[in-house]
Amino acid sequence: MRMNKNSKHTSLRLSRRGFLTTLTAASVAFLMSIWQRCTVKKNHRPRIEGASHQRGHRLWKKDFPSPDQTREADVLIVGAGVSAWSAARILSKQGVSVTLLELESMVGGNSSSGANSTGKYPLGAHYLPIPNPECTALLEFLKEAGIVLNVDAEGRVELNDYDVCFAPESRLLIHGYWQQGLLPRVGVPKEDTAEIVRFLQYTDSLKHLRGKDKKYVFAIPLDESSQDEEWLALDQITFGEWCKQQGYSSSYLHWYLSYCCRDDYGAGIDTVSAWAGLHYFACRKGMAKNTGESNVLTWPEGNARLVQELEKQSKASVFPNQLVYQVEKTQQGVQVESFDFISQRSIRWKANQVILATPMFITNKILSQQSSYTGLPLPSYSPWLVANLVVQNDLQRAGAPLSWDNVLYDSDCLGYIYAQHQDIKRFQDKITLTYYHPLDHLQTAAARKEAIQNTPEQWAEIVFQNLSKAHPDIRLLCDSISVWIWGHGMAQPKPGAIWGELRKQRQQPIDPSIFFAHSDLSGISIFEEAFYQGIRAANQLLHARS
Amino acid sequence: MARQWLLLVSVLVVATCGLIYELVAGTLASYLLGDSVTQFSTIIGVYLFSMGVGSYFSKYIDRNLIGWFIQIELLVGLVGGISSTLLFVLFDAVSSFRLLLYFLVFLTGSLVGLEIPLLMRILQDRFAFKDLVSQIFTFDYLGALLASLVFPLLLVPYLGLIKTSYFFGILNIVVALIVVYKFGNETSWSFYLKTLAWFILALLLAGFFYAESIQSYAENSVYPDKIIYARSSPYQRVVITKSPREWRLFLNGNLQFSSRDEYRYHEALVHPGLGYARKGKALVLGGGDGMALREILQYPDLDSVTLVDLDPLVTQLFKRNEMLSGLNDSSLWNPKVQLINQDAFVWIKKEQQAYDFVAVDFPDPSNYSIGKLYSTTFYKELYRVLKDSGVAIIQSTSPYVAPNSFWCIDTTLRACGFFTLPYHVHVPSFGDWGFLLVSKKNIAPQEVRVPSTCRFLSDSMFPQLCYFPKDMSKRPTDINRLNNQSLVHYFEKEWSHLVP
Repeated sequence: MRMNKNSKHTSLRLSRRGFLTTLTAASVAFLMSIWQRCTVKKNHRPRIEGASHQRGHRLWKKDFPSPDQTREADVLIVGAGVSAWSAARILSKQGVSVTLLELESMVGGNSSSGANSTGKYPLGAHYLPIPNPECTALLEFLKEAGIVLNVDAEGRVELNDYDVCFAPESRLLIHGYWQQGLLPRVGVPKEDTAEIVRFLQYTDSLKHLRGKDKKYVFAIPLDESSQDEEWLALDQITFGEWCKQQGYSSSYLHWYLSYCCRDDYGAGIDTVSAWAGLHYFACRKGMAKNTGESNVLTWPEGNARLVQELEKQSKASVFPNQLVYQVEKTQQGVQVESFDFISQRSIRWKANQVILATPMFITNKILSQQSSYTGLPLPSYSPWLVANLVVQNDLQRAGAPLSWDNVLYDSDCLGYIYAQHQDIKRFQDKITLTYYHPLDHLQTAAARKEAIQNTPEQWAEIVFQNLSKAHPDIRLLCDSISVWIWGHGMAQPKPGAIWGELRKQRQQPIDPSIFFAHSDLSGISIFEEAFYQGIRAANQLLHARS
Repeated sequence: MARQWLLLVSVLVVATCGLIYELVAGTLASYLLGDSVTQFSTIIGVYLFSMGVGSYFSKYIDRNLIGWFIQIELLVGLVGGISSTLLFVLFDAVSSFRLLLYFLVFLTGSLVGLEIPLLMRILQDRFAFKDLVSQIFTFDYLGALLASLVFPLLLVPYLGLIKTSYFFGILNIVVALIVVYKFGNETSWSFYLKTLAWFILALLLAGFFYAESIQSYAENSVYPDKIIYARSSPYQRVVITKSPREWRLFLNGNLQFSSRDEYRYHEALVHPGLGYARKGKALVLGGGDGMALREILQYPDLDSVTLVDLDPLVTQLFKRNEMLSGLNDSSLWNPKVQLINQDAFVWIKKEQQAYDFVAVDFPDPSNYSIGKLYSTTFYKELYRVLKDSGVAIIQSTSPYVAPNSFWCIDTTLRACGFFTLPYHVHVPSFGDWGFLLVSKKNIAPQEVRVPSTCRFLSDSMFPQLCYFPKDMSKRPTDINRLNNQSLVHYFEKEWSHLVP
């Protein structure tokens, strides 16, 4: 409440006393926590969540019983991630009856979420930048969801305050100190800072730059970007090579760029194309009335909130635990076969039209008869490790306080998100941290397979080792940990992946009855692209009907 | 031969412990006094110098070398073991903390400095000189390495500074005890040394296990008056002190009220608004001490009062303790009062009723978690639960100490559509304190009516309270939003001038 008038002296002493209290409490807690550590190991064994890779791998064997029942649907959508729901939403609005078949027991795909005693937490995608003014479909959806309150003539949005990331938004542990913000500042030499500023000024200048065809050079959705050859050429080299050409040599800048690319694309600057790398920095033009431009929309459960809104705005029936293993064109329409993990029986679906809202490597397995489509090469995928740790709310260290996004400089992992940061409550004694780690060092299928075979304890050890650089006592503070492995987390936008011929071919429907919707078709795994691909597929389908 | 090795091991232990004490002192000093470069550099200097002093004086010890060696080892353990407790307990009591700090470092250094030459002389007949020098210094420097590694990696994170000192004091004494029992026959002081060793060991063990109580003793010395109540809830540390003249409530060390002048604060928090609204439904957010309620309940036409305070420890204390409920006239027992222990933001977001009067009495916005309660998002909810004819009053920190913070709260409320009427009162315990009377239509200072029973406020003086002298006059500020928390930044900056 109020402070003492004489606080000059009192507060001075109290703050020191506070420090000493903490010290003593910490030392008292020591013996207890040793004991706790033993019990943590015993009682809170790390869990691996999610069954998708065991379930999904049955597609390779295809040892399913023959269908013993037949169901009918008008439009069947395979998958229940963002692109699937985005398509379902458009179709339901046009009065089309839609059925979704999902492999997992819950919907959401990469935007899934979980919950524990502390609240909800994300398992994958967890924020959305302020939408660009030209993304009218997205703005319309967000308005309907009550997240965007209104848009003015200049395209500036007013956002619902509860949905905008609360301050403090981010901090970076660098040279042993938590600095505010993610651009490396503390202990960074002047020349490096100058280079970082030069880079950001350059990418700012690209934001509103248009190519010869008058289109934005870097647009969202990226299909709307300029086809000016000069800029598309950037898709032929890696971002790392581009940096070298442009004389960007600062290791701090390289770390920052790699961090951003790993965060969005699951791979660093030596893997992704220069076009994709620059797109990350230059595509965002969103402006808001009640927040800064770099602020983001986020929720405790991450983008699962957006999925929930999409679901609410659709009138679709969902069948979870369904592994679709066969999609075939027939005389009457499309025949789909799925295996129900609950009843352990197969179902035959007869649909008029089908949208495959699945990642390409799954699509290839399902469409095995259509070799003209499945013969096309696949993108490389980054596996991801996402872990959720329930910890005592005692992570304060020198520097900036616990923020929404907490990033570790020069670490294999990206750091962690404090999801309940977005909660209005004042006190939380236990909190959930969501740890993100693209396993981009796993290049080959063999390495990925090996990684998948890691035990939960081995994964937990990797998490603890990385986090202990920031919090030496993380093992003591952690009550429980659950690990989520995304075997094929996201397609990597390697050189040639975005502006080669492949994406165009992949976006084409097979006859007018099998359509494709997934962020893989954009080449980068962000909400806006998945949302756009769903709408694109839905419009193709509606067009084929009329 | 084993006995010689034991002595060498004790060199290792003394060297390790000595450096640990030095590191503890350095760390403690840099935490307490700031400027870690200066602290560490001067402490290392004093420590090394005093080792030289100890070495020099070792030549004056002629007889009973083993006895002296053990005795000094015991002293190192004692001084080092209790050093951090001494520094911590005496931090507020002594006039020159630095003097005490350097004295302790000097004492430890001198004692450690005495040890090495003594040991060389004890062992001079048992080793060749070149072996002796090589062995002793090897162990000495090995100990230093060990100390410098375990200190930051294990001790500070896991044990804390106070327990670290005790722990190494105990280690010191244990080694000394072993030496006493092995070499007891070589000294005539055997009985005295054994007694002393056991005594010091008991003392250090007690210190190690009672660090908590030492802590609370130190707390006592921080508060000016006698502590009559001190307890921690999951949310805060609640301390009540009593002197012959007054009661004081502290939350997390910050004064909440003094019974001597709290009426000024609480009259100002309630009457300018409620004197205007007079009837209907009242709401208090925060204010679990029941003092604002006491003022509110003076209006007989009120239908009900809802009090939302986070901490049941505070509300129950002020409800059930006879002396404390005497201060608030048992307001928390009044049948018109509905008591809700919940986070105010969570509560107001779901609240569907509308109120005629709201008193908002939150802690000052000193951190991000409290800053949320001063944001546009919160005030929009407040706007929603306030009737069109309703009035709310918001405690808004000191416009004298923190003018930007005060006017930032004003700007934020205005951005949410409120009309504001800022005023400030002098509360001797706090200083010049600010409030904002907010409503959905403009209220002029002359329209404000307060009951004649007020001890401090009156109708005629209220307009004067609305006058802000130049040094705290209105200034442009940011709007405090959840996504920028500008107010917390203003507040930190402005109050830190007072807390160097």
